Amino acid sequence: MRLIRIVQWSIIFAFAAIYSCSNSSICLSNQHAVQTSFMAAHVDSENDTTLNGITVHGLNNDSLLHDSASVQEMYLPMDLNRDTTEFIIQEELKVGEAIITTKDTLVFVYDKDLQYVSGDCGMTFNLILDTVIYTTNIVDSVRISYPNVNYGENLENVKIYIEP
Amino acid sequence: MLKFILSLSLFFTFTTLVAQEETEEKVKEPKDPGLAIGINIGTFIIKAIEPERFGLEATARYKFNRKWFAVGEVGYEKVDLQNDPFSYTSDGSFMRLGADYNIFKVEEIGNNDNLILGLRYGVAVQEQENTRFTVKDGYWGNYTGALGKGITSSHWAEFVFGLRSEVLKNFYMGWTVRVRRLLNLSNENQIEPYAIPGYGSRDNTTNLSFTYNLEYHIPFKKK
Repeated sequence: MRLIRIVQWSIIFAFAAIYSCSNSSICLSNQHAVQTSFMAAHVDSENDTTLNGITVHGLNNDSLLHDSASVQEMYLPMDLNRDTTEFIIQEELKVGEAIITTKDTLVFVYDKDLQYVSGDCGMTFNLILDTVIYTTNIVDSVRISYPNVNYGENLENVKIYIEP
Repeated sequence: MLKFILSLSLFFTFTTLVAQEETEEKVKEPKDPGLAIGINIGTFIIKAIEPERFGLEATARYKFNRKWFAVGEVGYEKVDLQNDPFSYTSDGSFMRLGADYNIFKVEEIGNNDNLILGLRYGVAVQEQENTRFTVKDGYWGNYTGALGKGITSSHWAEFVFGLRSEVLKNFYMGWTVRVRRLLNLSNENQIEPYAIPGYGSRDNTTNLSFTYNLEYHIPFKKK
């Protein structure tokens, strides 16, 4: 009986500690970005490729996502206040003394699905990619490989095929 | 940690049952029916850990005999969460009904301590409101919205393990550890409950929680 009472008094502190530890959550950021990778077009097997010295930014947004970078994959954040988001990919090639600039525009069309994450992290949007519209100067073609952009997932969504 | 507690409880159960079998023949059980009423002061501990939650809980426990108890628990919980991504309020009530089985048995006359295994079925109804939520976006700018008000009802089951001892005559203190499993949640709109009254955090479909009860036992017959 005495043992029970000792356990009774002491264990409440253990409960409080366990309870407070089990109620913390980690919030993930940039979870509404479409994950893209560059692939070589017109080859028999699917091969990753790298674009050198490219600049990437959103349409009407001067903030650069990539600046003169060598890029094999990109995370492109979708505008949550709209159902479409446009990005400009720009490549600069030096030919002799001249610099030739080539641009392409990628337009992502998607549906948004509001989701509750947790009290600490709030809400998020999961996205479902519908279409990607594009120009074909650098880009050869675009394929949606996995249309769902979900909180907590890290999967490639879009393959961008590049002219070799 | 959950596995550890469950293992510990199973060990306790097994060893006590073995001890109980050995002494069962020697002690004749006194029948002492009565009603115990009490409060759960664990809600104040939760308030200290999670200041956005405030709850009150009362317990009624009917003792059929030394082994069996019918238990009813009712309560209220208010949540007021105001953080950067999420603004949320909730007012709700809950009820849990179930039974406890006392597996603790000693030969000492007048010892009314209990080692409890129990089951509960819980129901809660709450009115919630989300006045603002923000989805952060460092490139295009944040998305801000609001979900408004809604009524939510929840059902869950729980397994109870605990100790209860008579610290003064007819005055009991006891704690329980509870593993809760959410069975059903029906929402009027997209607001998910931050916390369900009587269940705890909605972030998990299985919850670990505790109660710490003070109870007064009203005996139905004189000792």
